[in-house]
Amino acid sequence: MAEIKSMTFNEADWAGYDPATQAYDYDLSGVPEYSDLDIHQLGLELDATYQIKPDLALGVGFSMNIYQDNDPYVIDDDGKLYVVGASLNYVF
Amino acid sequence: MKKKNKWIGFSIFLAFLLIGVQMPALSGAEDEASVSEFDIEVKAGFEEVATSDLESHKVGEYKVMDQGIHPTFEFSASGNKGDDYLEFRGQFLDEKEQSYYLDVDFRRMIRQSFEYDRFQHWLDHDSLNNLNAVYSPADPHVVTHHTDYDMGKDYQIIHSEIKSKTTIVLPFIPGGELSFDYRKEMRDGHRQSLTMSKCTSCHVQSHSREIAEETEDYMPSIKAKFGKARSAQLALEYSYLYREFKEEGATPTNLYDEGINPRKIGSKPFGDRLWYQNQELEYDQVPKMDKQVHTVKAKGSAPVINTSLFAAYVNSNVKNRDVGIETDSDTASVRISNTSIPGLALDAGFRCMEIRNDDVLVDYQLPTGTNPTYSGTYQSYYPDFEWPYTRKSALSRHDYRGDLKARYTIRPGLSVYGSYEWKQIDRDDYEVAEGETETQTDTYKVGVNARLGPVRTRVRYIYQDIDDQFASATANGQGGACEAYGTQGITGNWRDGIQYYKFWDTRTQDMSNLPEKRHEIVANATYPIRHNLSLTGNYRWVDEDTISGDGVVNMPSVSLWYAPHPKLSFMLSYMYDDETRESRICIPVFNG
Repeated sequence: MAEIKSMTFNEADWAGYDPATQAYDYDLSGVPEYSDLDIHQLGLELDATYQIKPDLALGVGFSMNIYQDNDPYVIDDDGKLYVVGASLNYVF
Repeated sequence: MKKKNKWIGFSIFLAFLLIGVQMPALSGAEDEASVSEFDIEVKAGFEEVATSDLESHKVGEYKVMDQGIHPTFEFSASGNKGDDYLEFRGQFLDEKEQSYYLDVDFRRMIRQSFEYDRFQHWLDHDSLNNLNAVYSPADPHVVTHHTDYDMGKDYQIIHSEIKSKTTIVLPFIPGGELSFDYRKEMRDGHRQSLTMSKCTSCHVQSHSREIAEETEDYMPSIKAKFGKARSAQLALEYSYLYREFKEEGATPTNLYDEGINPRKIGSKPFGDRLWYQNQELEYDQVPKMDKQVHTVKAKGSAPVINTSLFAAYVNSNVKNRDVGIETDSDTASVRISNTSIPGLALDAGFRCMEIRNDDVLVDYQLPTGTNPTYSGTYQSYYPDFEWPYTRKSALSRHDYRGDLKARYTIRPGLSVYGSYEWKQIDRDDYEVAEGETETQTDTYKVGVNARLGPVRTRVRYIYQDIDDQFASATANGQGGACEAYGTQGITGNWRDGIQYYKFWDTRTQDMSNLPEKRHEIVANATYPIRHNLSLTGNYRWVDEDTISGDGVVNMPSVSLWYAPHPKLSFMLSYMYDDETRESRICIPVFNG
């Protein structure tokens, strides 16, 4: 999990900046909203092999990955991925 | 696509051909003088990919992720017939995800290895919505507009790499070997490509960019050894690398809008400041490149005086084939190690490198201000400025570095070490501060490795002192982020035809996110509680000072390893990262 708590601006840095003469007046209050990070990741892998005969085995596997973005920054990266597999392993 | 399948087919054909050569061994037809062993293992199965809530691809960045059931196939074969050895293995998970490896050793005289690897990488697609963050409340509108012309498109790159290494032993040269390495890397797909329209950063636009990259390496080399390993030996090696890079994906184009005032239809206050507008133009062009590298290495060892010596010289040339610009470099390095004093290991090294990069002639139609107060061009405003402009390279430089390292073992389980590294970069034509082109970094490192009963601990402290770190000189207003606009501001506003360089003149502050001073402490301890259970703790602390402000990192972590069965183990870990960093930004960049 990672989180950027806040982004702050030092008002003193803006001393001397006059929106009236420079013809600009920016509202930056939305900036911190795009910089918050709150990501949770979970990964699980299970593999097992069953030896049927000396030269033949059965392998099975399962993997699970969860990526949860509670505060999407640039793009929403939420996703869950489940993969199951099985194979017959033969030794000549 | 056909090209790649041809290579896969070729690799399988070559592998079976070589297995066929070895078949007599398999069938037991070996001659009496040779002993044969051969093992083959085949794994055939399936894989089912199920996904849910898949809005992006972070969860399986390097996974094909086509839903449904897919057949999978793995095999490995290895063995020998007398003095001939063969190893071959492969894995097929998907047309976009497969790998093969072949290694043949013919009586230690000829060795051949071959690798093919192919996988897919999902890329991000930035919606650009974060550009809405800054807006003007007085006359409500976002400051930076954006358009994504391929909204929602999945971006992915398929990487393919072929590697071949052929080595022939030269019996008439002591320790002599002749090698030929070949590598071909391909990247195919699409990625997001951004550009800016209107005057400068008022409007960010996104297109899909086709990727069809090819990098090919050819590298012959020769090695020889002289002397005896027990007393003194010298090994020499020379290699030549020729690399060719090309991007055959179509260069994207963008319609660069007419420079208008977005809040006043019909108003065109920027016309006298733009180089181009209202035109469909190419951007994000990737040049074709050639690279040649000559490398000479010498490694000497003299066990009788507990000393080893390594020296190398590298000469390289990189040529941009689109515009003919070249970069040359020469690097010489030497390193000596000695263990004559019991318990003390000494190591010293020095490297010098020179990089020479061609200048670029910048020549275009200079914008001409039409406002009487700010009329003329940049050149007319600054008569000393020569036009066309010869832009010197920021890459040309001399880079020197030297280090001295010492490690002393006080007793078994307790050792201390220390090192000093000096690094100096002197750029020919790039200033990191006013009148300064040189960056010097001094790095001091001390540490201790100790075993306290069953607990193993390591502690390391690093201090860096950097004079004139790499920076963008005169990048920001003096003092506060935008103070300059108040104290040195230009009379009038952006609608009056002020040229951009007048705003640039107000910048006097150097900016860099690299530290001037940096302290780091890293400590870790491992406690083996039982033969199958251990606990490890780590701690990292960093304190660094930059022009923009201070940065502090506190990063403790702990992990527990438990293996209840020889084939079953668990690892539980937790890390806490607390970082505080100060930075400085200047928002009203171009006032347009």
